[in-house]
Amino acid sequence: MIPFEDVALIEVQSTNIALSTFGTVINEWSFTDNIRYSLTACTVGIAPLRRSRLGGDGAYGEVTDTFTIVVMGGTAAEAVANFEELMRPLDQATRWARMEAVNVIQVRMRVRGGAEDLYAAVLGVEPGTPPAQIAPQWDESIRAFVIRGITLPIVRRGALLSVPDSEVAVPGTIGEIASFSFDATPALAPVDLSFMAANLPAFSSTAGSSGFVAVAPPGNLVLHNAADSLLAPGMTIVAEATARGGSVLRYTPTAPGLAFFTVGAFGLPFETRRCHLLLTVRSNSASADYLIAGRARNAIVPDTASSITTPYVRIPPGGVGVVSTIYLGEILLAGDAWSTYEFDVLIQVPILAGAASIDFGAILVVGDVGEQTSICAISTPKFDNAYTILNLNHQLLTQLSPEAVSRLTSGNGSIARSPVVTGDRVVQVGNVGPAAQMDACLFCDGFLDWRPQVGGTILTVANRARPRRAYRVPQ
Amino acid sequence: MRLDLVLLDSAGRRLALPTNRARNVQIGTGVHGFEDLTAFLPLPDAAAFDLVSMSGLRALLVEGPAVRWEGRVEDLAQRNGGVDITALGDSRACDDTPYTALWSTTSVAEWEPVLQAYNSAYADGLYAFDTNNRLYITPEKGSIVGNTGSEKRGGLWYVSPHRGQRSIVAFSANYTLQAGIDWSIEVLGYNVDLATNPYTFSFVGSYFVTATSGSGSINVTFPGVNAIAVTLRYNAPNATLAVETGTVFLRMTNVRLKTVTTATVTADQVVNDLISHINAANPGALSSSTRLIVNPGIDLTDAVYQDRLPSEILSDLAAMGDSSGRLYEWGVYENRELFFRPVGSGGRAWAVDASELEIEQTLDGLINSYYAAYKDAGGRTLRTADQADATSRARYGRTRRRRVDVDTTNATLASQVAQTARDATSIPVPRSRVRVRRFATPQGAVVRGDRVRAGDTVTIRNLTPTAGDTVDRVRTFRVAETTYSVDTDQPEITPESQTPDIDQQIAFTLRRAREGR
Repeated sequence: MIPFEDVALIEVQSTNIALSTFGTVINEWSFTDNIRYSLTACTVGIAPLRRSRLGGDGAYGEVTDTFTIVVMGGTAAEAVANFEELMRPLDQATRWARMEAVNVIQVRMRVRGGAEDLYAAVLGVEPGTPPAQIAPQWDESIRAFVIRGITLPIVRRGALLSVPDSEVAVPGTIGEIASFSFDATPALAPVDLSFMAANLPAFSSTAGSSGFVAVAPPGNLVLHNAADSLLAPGMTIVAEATARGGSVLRYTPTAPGLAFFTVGAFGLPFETRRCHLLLTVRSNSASADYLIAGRARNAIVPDTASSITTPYVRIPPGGVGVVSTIYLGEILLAGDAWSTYEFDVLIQVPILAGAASIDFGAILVVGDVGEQTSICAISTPKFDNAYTILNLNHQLLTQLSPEAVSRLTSGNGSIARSPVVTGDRVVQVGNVGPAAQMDACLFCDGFLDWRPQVGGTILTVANRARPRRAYRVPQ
Repeated sequence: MRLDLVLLDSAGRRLALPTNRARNVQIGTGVHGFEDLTAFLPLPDAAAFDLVSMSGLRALLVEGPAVRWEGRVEDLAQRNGGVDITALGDSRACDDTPYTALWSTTSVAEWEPVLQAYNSAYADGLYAFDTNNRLYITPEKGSIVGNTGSEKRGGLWYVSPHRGQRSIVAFSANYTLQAGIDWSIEVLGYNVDLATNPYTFSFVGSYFVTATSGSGSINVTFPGVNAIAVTLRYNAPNATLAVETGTVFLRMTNVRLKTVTTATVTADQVVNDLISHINAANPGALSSSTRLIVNPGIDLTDAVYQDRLPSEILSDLAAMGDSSGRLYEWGVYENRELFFRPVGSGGRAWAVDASELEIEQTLDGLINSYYAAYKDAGGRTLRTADQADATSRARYGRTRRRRVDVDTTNATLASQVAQTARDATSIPVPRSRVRVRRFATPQGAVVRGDRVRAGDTVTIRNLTPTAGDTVDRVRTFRVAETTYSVDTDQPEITPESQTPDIDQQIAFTLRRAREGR
């Protein structure tokens, strides 16, 4: 806690409580208007990294700011009324935090001479406040009734957020990595991230089986075409127009058993210690069960003890021709460099019934560096003209929970659909070098296609991101 | 990445609830996979009431694309300004509906004479029967036997459990027929409705006939029936039997009925059928995948289940172990896939540096000799020879012997189960308690405790290595239960035998009581 009255350099210039709806301030109370309220002391809580592993609230825990204020009025009744009016938003904040249908309350702060206002959602006051006894007294020096000794411990979300930075738009093709660069942020900054299908004809739509949104610092998303892998017996390259790179790797087993293809070594950053494997796959059999897994093994010194295999994922028979985007699992490394490891995809065919084959499209490796890595699974993603495919919005200033919606991109923005999205929906970015940077990828299939397409054209995507710089102390 | 608590409705849609505000979130694993998830979700009264009014919910705790826990919401309690959520793992599906089915029986104790009231082809009072370790039919001296008017068969029959889910398709036995000409034995199949009075008989087929005196064996398969009769008849005009009772007879031994045509009945067949049974009652309760079902290789000569919960059957089958003497385990983790496999075979290995460690060596759990109690075909209780572990006897200086009940007439199988039980307890499990925060893979990568599950093995690196077993149960032990607090990022692992702790014991007891176990 920083006691503001003792640190003149960061004396609070503006400390307001604002009632707002979706970011639009509709009423505001200032502790420093010097007519009704006067701030005499303030200590601002410094947000710790949250210990709870539950996501949805950003990286930082809740904190308590303590405001010591004097409430004034021309008459005793006016002073009491001003006090009552101050209590109203604080009650409302508590009720909002209980998920009652009331508007959010935000606190806005700026130090004297500071550069910008910062905001946080208020979650209420600590129990036991304000004081139980209030006695307005006449103060001759300011010729007003005053209520002194009011201490308000206000609980709020830990990160103080700036107004939204400019939106950064990165055009691209679906299933490709988009790289974003923003202004530097002192603390992990939440990002409003959306993907919009850019080339869908009017009134057209298409859908996929499954997909993922993956976000990570630069270098931690690596895309690879299975067709570019080292081929093993039974494996061939097959041209597929919608596949990334125009072809897929096909494995045609001739007997039950185990096979694998070597994807290659990935140059993930040295400090990254674990990664997740995602891939697109299609079984061409109505009867054969396939089990697939990922494996990392030391490419320099062959050593079975060093190989790390994910659990097998079952690709059941049926649904011939349907492409799935699946999660293979995670691979953990100790202190070795990823470049010394080669990745394989293992394929087990327990029972081979008739002619069968399985195709592999793209492989996405996601380096997991903790808070700045996010992977959300999307069930049956839809791509509609005029709708964003998906918007991951942290809503840290306006709502209790983040949202993942598909929303009209123009007109009535309130019309939204909620696809089933699991995973922490709060995307966060930190500094990489002088700027905040992140890579993002909407990695999904097009149900019968390797990537979503309309009329043979792969969907292009407007990848959009808008961060709010985050701070732990007022600026 | 942080965790995401997800509540899905019965249609698989995510409920728009502020699960990121949940408190006291804790997940647990146990011997049957994902065990429980508990959480408190602060909600206003109206929203809380809406939530507790819902049914068919599922709960997931995911870390990005990885599932850390999943199961079905069983209890929702509105209190203290929110909702207490309790979800149980999908192994709970094995407690939903009882299962009745005959798989195989070699017992003749339940064979009964076919009465004339049941079927007019049979005659009362003309034959003597014996089901003492055999099927025995002999006409009584002075009886009028023959086919004039009616067939006047003497028959013993077995009817599979009423409303059982499987039909008899195979019969095998050794037989001896001692009779003159015109006497024959026959194996007949019926579908019988036991709910009618008298029973409604529907003849299906004759599967074996011989009129030749002597001995032989029968091994026949046929379309499904729910009753099998073995009969003796005099296929000639009526005559009075002049010879002594017991002169003409049919004797069958080594009788076996099966509901599969395969040579043996193995536990994986039963488990696969249980999955179908569970999903028939509650579609999608378990994955139809059987890839995690391992065949123990033991022929289940006597497997008859009447009104038993699948969980009970699975536990019985797991306790029988396999032909290599390994105990089995069953449960459900991700994707609702039921596993049935040797204990620990699906577990991962972890290394830890224990910050707190308590170890109590005790002989309390030492049992180094077992005998099995089983039954002969007539239902008499028999006992195998003691299956003792000489090494354990020498090491601990005493023999501790217990009985294990095996529902079979097969002495070999009974002995095998006794050996499996002995191997599991011939080295007593030390009571221990370990408190750790982080776990390391064999390659040295450090992970949080939410990945550790029951069935995994944990090696405490900061203990002196001991020679001997791979799992020596002190330095390296198998995890029996885990809990992980999401709020505090603190795992608790319970080794196979934990030190007595009143809080743990109470929690353990309450959990068992809640699950009805």
